Amino acid sequence: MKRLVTLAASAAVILGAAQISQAADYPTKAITYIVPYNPGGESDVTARFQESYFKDVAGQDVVIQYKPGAGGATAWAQLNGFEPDGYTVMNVNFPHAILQPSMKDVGYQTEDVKPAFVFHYTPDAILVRADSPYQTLQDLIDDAKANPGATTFSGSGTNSANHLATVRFDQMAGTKSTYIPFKGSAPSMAALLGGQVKAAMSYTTQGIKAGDQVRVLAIATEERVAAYPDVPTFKELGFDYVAGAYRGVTLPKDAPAEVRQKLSDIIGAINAKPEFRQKMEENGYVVTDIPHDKVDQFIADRRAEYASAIEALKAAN
Amino acid sequence: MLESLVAALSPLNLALALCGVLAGTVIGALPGLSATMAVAVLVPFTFTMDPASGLIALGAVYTGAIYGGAYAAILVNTPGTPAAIATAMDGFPMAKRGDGDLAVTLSCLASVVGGLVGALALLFLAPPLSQIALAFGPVEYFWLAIFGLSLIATLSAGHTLMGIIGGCIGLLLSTVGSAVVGGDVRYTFGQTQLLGGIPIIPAMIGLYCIPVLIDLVIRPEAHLERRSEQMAGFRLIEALGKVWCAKFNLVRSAVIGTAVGILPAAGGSVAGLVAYTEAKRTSKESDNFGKGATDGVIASEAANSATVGGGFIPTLVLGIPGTPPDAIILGALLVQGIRTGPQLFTQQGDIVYTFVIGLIIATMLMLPTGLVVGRYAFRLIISVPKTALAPGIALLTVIGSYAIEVNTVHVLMMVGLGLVGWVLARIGLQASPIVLGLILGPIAEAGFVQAWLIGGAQGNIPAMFFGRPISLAIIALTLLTLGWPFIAAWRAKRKAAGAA
Amino acid sequence: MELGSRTGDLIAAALALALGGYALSQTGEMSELGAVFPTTAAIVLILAALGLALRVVLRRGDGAEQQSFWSGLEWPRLIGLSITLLAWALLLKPIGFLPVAALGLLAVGITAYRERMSLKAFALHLLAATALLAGFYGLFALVLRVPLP
Repeated sequence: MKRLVTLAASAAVILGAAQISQAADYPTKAITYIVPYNPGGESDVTARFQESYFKDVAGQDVVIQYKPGAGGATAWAQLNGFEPDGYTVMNVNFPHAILQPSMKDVGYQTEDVKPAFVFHYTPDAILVRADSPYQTLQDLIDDAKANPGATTFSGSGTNSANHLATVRFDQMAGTKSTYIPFKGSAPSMAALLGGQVKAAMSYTTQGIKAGDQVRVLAIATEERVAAYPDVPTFKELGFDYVAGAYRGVTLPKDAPAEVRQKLSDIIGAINAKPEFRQKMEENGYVVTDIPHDKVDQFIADRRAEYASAIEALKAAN
Repeated sequence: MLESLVAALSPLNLALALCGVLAGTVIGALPGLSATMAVAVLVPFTFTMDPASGLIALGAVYTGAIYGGAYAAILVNTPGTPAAIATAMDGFPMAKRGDGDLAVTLSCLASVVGGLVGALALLFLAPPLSQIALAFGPVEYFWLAIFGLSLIATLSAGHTLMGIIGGCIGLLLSTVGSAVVGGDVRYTFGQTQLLGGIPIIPAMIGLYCIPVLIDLVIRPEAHLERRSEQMAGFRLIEALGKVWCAKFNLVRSAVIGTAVGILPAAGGSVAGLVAYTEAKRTSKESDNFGKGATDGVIASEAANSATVGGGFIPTLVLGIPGTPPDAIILGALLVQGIRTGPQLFTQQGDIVYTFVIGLIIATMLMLPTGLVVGRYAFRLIISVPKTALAPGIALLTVIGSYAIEVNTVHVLMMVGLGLVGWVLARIGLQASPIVLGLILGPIAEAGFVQAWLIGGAQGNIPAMFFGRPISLAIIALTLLTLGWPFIAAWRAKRKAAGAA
Repeated sequence: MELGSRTGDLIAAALALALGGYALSQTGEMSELGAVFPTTAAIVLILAALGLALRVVLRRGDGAEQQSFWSGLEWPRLIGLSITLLAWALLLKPIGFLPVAALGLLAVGITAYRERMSLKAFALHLLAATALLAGFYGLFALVLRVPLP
């Protein structure tokens, strides 16, 4: 009997050690990075940027896969079905991951997709066509107040960052705009450029992509963005609005804490690289450093921030 | 542009073009594998190449695969991409009656011409054409999708009710999942896998390939009859003769393919159909369409090859993919650091021009490779015994539906829809209306809801839907196509009455 | 079975009716705009089903019915193939690509088997199957880095 116990105990120790050592050596092989959208979007581009530095920092390659569907919900709902060994990680977006479960039953809860690290955000920006009559944000607000419901904003998806931003904008400015959802940022921008809508509620990244064809009316950052030195922030214009789409890297919730910590460290290290930061900022992304121990607070803050807008959305439905 | 020409003719790029077309054609020809899959799995390779070469490789594979898809459509009745649906409609009957080799050669010739037209449009007319694409707003897309759906009715002439039922089934299937516009979660039975809706390519593979596979297994007779003269040649002279007689059809279809292919998202699938319907409408032997009319194959193949070049226009200039493979190529472009947009042709012009010229070269290379691959494909299908053909097709369908998104659930969906599709085909509900409903449904619905919201914001919904010039033109076209059979019959009656 | 045969039409009509009805029943939970398309499609389905049924009724006197739905079906092969395909899809994840594909190829081959096969032909089949499996596996797993289950 005693022998059996000793045997069992040693087995447990060995297995445990193996687990820990596996975690300690993480990563020992290539990691699958799932992007829950179609290629070409912000999530994809930033993942690609990370990919090029991943080998330096972590010693292993990253294999990017796409699982688009339902604005990200399909992939996030499947996250916890993957092996929680840290070799399958996923991109996760806020506000989407908070909004979607609040509005509908999408197969996951926000806690299920808690990120290990939130590494950037794309600031909300209001874009209009270069030949638009709106020269400043005030022009747009005046027009919106004079004709309630007539200002059309194009944006990507329903219950998404763009959608939320439009609702919050209405709340702040006291206007009533109409949000027109499109299947992605590219069609949303095309609608703007084709004159189908009056403005686009989008991100700085889309503005940079469109170059001279658009005018940016305002950006939701603390300070003016380097790429757009002449564009005022919402704060300057009197609106306390600093927001955008935050993106992080997450892994199945049952992954060992060690692995989560390591992943957080890796992403943080990539974020620290000056070339990476420069690439991101040139393209309109604002790098943030929210490691895994700060993530809970981050999510709580965002929930508070979005609370009244979510109420408004629910009421409208 | 001259440097681009030289760059495109570099040995590396030529080799890439040739290998790409060859690989693409072979992959496209295998039933169950699609152009989308071919491009998807080859993308990682291109990251190590310089942008222009990588693009040429992908473009060549795409061209080859669209074109190879004709073989699968003709010989096994399984279109590999939405663009090839119309090819199967006449190609397969031709194969059944022993003219498979003729159909193959015809599709080769038509594809080369169509591909060239599309690529030339891309080369010279991309920026202005993309402006036209921009003018298409939600309303226009709605009417375009309705037009496409109305084609279902036209093409199922004689069994119109069945076609309508099939199309509606497809429409309902397309609503499964989380709606982009509105966020409703519909018909998912609580399954998270269905949140994203029913994926198009696995659905197509299932609905077309599985019934063919089942019939292959349960019918004792050979899949395609042998005729002793068939092994002899390509029937090239005969094919050339037919193409010459149909030259008007050929060019018109290529133009339609390019024009419709420019429209993002809707382009590929609708282009082949519109060209085919037009060919049928203007043909003197329109009754032959659906039973093996060579003009049908020519029209469809010219159009779908033109969508390759045409589809790149919105992809490169607007950043909105024109067809499913374009979406994947777009991702590859971005990785290479190529910024899409009208300035692409000015700022990174050398890359783009090298790519387009490479595409043209690849298209021309389709002629020899296509004829050769076609001959072997044909021989293979005819001579391989069913005990090998059936398992082979089964394996290919599994791989073809799994590999695009690396998802085993897609394989299950493919099989499930396939089995259901076989039962439906036995009752008389063909696959094409269902697939068309599935593809066009989301486009129609998104267009409708967006147009409704914008019209509501402008305070005038009817003006939105019926007041814009392009949409009126599309509505007129729809009515014309729907009404043509009646007009033609009425005219024939008057003629007969007048002559009597 | 010919298109237009009565049994076929009736089954199609019943199916369309059922689908349309089900689709309509679910629209209660949808938002206004979200319900438009499903409702329209469902209504058209129901109308088409009625039209079809009407046509069948009106054609009552029309000649002998062609092949019935059930004739000419080799049931064992049909069921065998369907089960094989379903099993293939379901077992991919748990068991893995190679073993399931190998079994699948074998099973489908068996369902298609008709005439006596010489030993040489059988060997060729096995060879081709192995080559095919090895080729695809190598291509995807090694060259293209697509993770196969």
